[in-house]
Amino acid sequence: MIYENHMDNVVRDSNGQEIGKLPFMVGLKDFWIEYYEEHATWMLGVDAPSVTPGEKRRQKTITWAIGQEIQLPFVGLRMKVLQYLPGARLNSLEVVQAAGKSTIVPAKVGQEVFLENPEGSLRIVQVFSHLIVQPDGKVIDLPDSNANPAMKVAFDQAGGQKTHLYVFAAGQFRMHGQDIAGVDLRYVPGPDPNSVLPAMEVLLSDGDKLFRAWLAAKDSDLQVTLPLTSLPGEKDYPPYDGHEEHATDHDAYLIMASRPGPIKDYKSSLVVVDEGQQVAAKVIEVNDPLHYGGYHFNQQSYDIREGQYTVLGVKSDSGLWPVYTGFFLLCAGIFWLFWAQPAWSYLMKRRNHGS
Amino acid sequence: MAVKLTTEGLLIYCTMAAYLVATIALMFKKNRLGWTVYTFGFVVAVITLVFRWHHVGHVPMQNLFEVFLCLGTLVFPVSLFCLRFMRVGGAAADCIIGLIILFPAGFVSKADPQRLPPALQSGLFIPHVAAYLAAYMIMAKAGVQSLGQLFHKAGPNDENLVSYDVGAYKMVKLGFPLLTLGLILGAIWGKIAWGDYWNWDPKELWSFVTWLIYIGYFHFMYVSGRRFPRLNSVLVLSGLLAIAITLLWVNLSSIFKGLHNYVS
Repeated sequence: MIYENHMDNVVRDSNGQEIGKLPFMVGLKDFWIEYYEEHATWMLGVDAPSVTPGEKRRQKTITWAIGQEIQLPFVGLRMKVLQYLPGARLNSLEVVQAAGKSTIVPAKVGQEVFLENPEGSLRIVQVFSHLIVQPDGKVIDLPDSNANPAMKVAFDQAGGQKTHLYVFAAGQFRMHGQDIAGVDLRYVPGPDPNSVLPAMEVLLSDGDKLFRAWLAAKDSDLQVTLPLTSLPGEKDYPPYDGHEEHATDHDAYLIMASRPGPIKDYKSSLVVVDEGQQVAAKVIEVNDPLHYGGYHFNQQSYDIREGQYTVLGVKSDSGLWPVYTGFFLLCAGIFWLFWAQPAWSYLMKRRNHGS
Repeated sequence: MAVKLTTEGLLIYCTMAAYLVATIALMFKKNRLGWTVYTFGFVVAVITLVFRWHHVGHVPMQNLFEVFLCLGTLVFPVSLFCLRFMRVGGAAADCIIGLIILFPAGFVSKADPQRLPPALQSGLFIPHVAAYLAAYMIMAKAGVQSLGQLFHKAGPNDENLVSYDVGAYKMVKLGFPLLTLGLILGAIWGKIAWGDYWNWDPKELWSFVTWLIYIGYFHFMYVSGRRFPRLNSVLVLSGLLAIAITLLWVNLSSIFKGLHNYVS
């Protein structure tokens, strides 16, 4: 058993008893598992701080169904999944006016929405892939990243007033910049047949207030989180007590996480150090072991929980060639006896009897 | 048990229909019609195999569904070869075997495409499994000959064909080297992947038993030749039973736990 970034030369039997030492060291640089990409599934869960500060966080998976209202664990919120898009992309502007009237338009420059109250026309003037505010106050886009998608929207009010505001994909409970009274603007995902990343719209309620939010996966995401602590609802964990070491832990999250598909490969990156020199290095797989110093090393097992170690089987390579020769002789003999010889005598007979 | 309304399922049903028609035609001595339809069934079976290969991205030999598909495709070449080069008949029976084999593929076995797990990503995967599949099909033909020997006293219909006893012997001689090759390749592969040539897991055990039964058959033939034709037939059929156990019982029954269980 070798831990990542460790070396060992002790050989043990299946009970863990030491049965010998190798004359050289075998080290594990890294162990990892590769997955088949296209079969990942996404699950929903809640991750909350422990009830007693300083202890391990708690996670619970949620079974959900569209339209079904369920109680979220750990926080005093009920959740209903409004929409689930198996393939989605951040591509729409949703405008919610008074009395819940909702309009959805593509998030493209030039798109216009007419508002009734207050009266006026809303127009998308810029779409950002990653909006950042420079120290001098200028707002720019860094298109190499998609960490903070946003839109700049111009509102021409009837009556001449013109305002600009920004709509962000993240942080949907608060609007930055100027708001338009009575109108809710959201940068939301819409279905995209070319996308394999899902998005889910949820409705959260503490019995009194309602909050709608989207969880949308981006390319690099393994999980998408929605912070819950700032929402109303009775939490079963204590609020942040101000201690530094608990600082990162004080929030609870609704998480949509991808579970990887089937395993493609188990890989251990091994090095062999003999007399202080590195003499061999190889990434081994199941069907491709390491062969050094008269031994074969193959992967027998690994750390299922955290992938921190790999268990290597050590097998002497003595006697390999006699055995292979024996295999060959056995096969050759049998093929000769049952295939070649009858076929040969059949062909000889044909030759002798033919003209 | 369910009807598969996928492309694969429909292709399999088409093959089965062709085999059924071919069986009836051959049984009524309409050989031209029978062999034409049989050839057509084979072509559809090959198309199914190629389709499946493309669908899952690797050689379709990983689970029972794919194994049945391969076997159902192998019937035709084996039939043709044995008739033309070894004068062993039984094409109608082969079509029935094809039907029986394709039945679970078409209605029972799970056909969900699976990715190839790390253990099967080896150059030895195809030769090891292919050798066994070809051997199984040939031994099934041997079994049919033995059944003929036991129950069809009149002998084969066509006087160009060898007698059932000789037919069974020729079939076992044809298939046994492939059985041996499969066994040896399995041992070599095991050494590379797991460090050991042999682990006595149920699948290996029963494949070894199969091998020993046929070895026993050869020894018995050597010692007593054709003096006890019924015993010869029983030995061949026992070998076929062991093959059925190796292929099916080991994979399907939860009482067998072993290294080969991911295959099914």
